Amino acid sequence: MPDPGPAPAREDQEGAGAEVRAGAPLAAGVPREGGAPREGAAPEGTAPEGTAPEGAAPEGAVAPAARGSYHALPSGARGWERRWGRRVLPVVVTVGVLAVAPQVYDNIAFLTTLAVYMVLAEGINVIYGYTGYLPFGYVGFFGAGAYGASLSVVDWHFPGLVALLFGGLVAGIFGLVLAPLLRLSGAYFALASLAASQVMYYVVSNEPWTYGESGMSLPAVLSSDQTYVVAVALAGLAALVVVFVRDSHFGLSLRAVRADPVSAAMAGIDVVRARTSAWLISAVLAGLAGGVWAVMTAAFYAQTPFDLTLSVYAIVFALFGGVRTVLGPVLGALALYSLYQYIGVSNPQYFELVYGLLIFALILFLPGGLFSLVGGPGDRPAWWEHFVERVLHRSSSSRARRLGGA
Amino acid sequence: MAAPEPAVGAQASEASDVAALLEVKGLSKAFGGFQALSEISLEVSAGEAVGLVGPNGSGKTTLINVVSGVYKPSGGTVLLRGEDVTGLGSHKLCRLGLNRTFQNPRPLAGLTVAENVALVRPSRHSERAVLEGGPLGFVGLDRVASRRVSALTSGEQKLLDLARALAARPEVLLVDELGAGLNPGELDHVAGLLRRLKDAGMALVVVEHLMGFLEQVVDTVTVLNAGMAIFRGDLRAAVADRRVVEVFLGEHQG
Repeated sequence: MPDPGPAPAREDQEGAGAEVRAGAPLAAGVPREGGAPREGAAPEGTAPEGTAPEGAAPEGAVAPAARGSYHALPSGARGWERRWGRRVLPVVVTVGVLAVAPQVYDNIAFLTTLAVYMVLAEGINVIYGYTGYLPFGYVGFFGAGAYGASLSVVDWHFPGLVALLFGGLVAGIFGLVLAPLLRLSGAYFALASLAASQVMYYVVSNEPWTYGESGMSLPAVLSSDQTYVVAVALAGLAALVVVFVRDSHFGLSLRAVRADPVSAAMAGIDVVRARTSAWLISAVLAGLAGGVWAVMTAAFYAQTPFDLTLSVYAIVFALFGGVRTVLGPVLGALALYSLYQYIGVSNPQYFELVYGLLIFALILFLPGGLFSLVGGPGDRPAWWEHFVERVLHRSSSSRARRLGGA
Repeated sequence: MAAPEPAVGAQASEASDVAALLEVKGLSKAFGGFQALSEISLEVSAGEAVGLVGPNGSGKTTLINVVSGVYKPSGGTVLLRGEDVTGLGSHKLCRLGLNRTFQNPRPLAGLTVAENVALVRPSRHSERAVLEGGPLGFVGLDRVASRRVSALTSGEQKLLDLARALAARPEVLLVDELGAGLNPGELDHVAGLLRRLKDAGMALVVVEHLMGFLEQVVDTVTVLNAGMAIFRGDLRAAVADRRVVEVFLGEHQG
């Protein structure tokens, strides 16, 4: 995790020049009486280092530590236990759900695919949730990873795990090649990434060196149980990556760039590098997922790993659970892909209907995804806030929190 | 990052006699066929504040945008501490010790006030001491540090924009119409802040329409019209200057 640099020594600047008091007129919304600012006031700059001025914000830690660590911020968790809980818990839940799942539903192929979808949804979370770029062609990285891993096994006899890593590498290289697409914005980017994935598909499905005509067929490099273990580990890794993105200065930079690239650049953030990093992280995750899928599937034609439905599902799963959260995409994938398994295979027409209605409901009532229900103040939908207030009779405390007082 | 230099004000102002902190030489910017800036030159030393005035569309904000790396110039050079920084991106200039505020404040929505400031990578080169109380304390926003930006008033957003710029510990600060839309009390507060920054050795370029505000802050002004500098000198002299008056009030009839 990149440290934002050593906390600068706090020095008394020049007496009055650096003197600071809390409670400025603007903050209070009250015009100051008497024009002259407070140069004449007794300089308080002689206060010991790092001492918060009297009457500062309740979280006096803000000013001195603000630059050193994002976690010193008042909005963040206070104790390290809670902070580490926030970091470790999502990973434990992700891995735990997948680890227990075979006891509940013994269909290892389905569960492996579920884990793969969780990874894809987390990849979408990184690129869409944190940078705002919506890659409809995300499946291209999945396909690149699937083919990278497969070809390395078939042509070069790579062992299973190395082949998976190679798949991730190949997807990362494609991510680098396609990074200039990030110059586009909005729908243009979405369509260009879609086009790029289609180009990859047509090349792969026609070239002899990718076995386009005959289809890919892999020897068994990993048993299905081994593949599942790898898939679960990968899902845990994806969750961990998102924890890092959420909590690091890098993640804060991404959110800033998403909000306003010009202003973010003026804050010293290299906008191009930040976006490209997120893009590559998300590409590599998809590539690794593609590798796992290829090893599991063993025999396939290009149309399957380059199927646009994969992009769409990954996006829907991520949005359904809630982007910019760690567990949202994981649980979105769990809920919706299980639903797919439950009715999608036997009654595809009802399934489409239910999916459609769910997506409608999501857009109308939960634009922030399922996880916005438990999100921080300001994230929660207004109707839910009302509901919670009514039901739990906590109107006053909840309102205070919403206003940022507590 | 090197350890912060212990000394500040005195050294900085001594150095300022030798060379200006920010030197803009013959800066031009064209948008297609429209010449927004032609051959503008400007010098600001440590502890000095230069006002930039002119009617709407005269190129003030364009000048700030070009100097701060938002636009690339069509010609001319920008020197920071004598170093050529022409055409560098904003993030690099930020780390070299140049920063700015935005005419329409652009705090980062969805982030809290404190996050907006914590985000900033402070300049590596700057010898400026850290503001006591931090940037938020300095501008007086520490009470609302945990609030979301969307909950701030427009005046508070302007202060946050200033705090964001100060968090980078700039040596040169370009201030783009910080006073616009503020009430008289807020104006005095902001003018006081800028004066304190100037007194602490920061070099300021202040774009502003409000003469009363400028009077409190700047030493000299440069008047722009149609992308050209038509006057340089004392603010009072500028107000008395025939060309300047013409530009603002139209040509004298009769």
